[in-house]
Amino acid sequence: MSDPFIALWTAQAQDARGLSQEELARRSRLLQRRVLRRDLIEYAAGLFVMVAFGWMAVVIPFWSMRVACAITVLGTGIVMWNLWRRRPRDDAAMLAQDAHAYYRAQLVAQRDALASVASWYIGPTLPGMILFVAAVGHKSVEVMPLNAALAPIALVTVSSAAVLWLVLWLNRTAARKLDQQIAALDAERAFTDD
Amino acid sequence: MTAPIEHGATAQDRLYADACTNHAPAIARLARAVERDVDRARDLEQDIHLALWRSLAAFDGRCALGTWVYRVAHNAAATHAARGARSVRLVTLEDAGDLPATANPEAEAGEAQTLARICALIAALEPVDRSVMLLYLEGLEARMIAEITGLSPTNVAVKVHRIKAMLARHFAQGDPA
Repeated sequence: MSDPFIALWTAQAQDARGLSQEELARRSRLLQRRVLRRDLIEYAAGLFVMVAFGWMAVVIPFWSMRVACAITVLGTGIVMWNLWRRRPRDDAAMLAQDAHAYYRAQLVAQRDALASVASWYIGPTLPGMILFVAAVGHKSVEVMPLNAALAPIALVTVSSAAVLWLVLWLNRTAARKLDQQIAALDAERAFTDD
Repeated sequence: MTAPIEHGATAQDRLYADACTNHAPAIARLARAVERDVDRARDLEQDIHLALWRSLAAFDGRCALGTWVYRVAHNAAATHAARGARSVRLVTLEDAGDLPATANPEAEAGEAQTLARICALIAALEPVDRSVMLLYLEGLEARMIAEITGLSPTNVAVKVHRIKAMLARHFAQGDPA
């Protein structure tokens, strides 16, 4: 081996060994606990929203708001189902792809999730939110002047729409950057196939 | 860490033992190159071992065991690196020549500093280029690097040429110590 960099590099960690069966089993249990904790954190917020709106759907005396709450519970349930479908796959054999294919698959998965966030994450919760705001507005005009009732509704609607637009724009921008990285990888593959 | 136990071992365990016999040091070096924090590097090394052991349940012999080991190890390391590098701008080997060389090469004598600087260069590279450089440093042939990375041997040869040029530029006349 004449390359001094290779000689220097490979002189490191010569005494490294693999894991014992006991250690593999312990790390396996740790991994399972880590995945469980990640899932619990991810779904805890959604469950909280479902319980809170479910409770409101029962106790609020106005039917329009009860329907809005029920639709919000349904929409949140759809979002959680989508999160479950899109959760990272625990497939160790996937790691045995070549580095180029594995990296590309990771980027494509991230790009697709970001580019379609409107349909699978934001979209399902919109009907409930819109109905709820409309129901609050409808009830408000019954007990106060029109302008006083609609002003806060308009403020909430415009600010919510602005935040949603910003979220979508940030996601689409990130997706476009990932698209560029994927195109660069594909160009490399084209060079590879020459 | 100890060697895997052979008594009552399954095919998966035996493959894992074979893999460790030949590649445990390379896995340790990979972990230390990707993760500079000593404790987290040890954790990553063990995570790679676990991923490797689990993946070997699906090993079908369509590629050499060594190729499988390097693929799993490098992909697991790339996933770990991606978590910590979302805000870091990575570069290709073509652009890596622009990375600043040390201001005073004489002051950086010594193997530890040299290895630290090599690791810093590796950390700045995009995942596939990072793998090519690490596999080159492991002394693998272009054909084997191509199998592991999915690039053609020609492409690997071009990248190895760039790696050598980059190392020469960063370490004066190519003498690391």
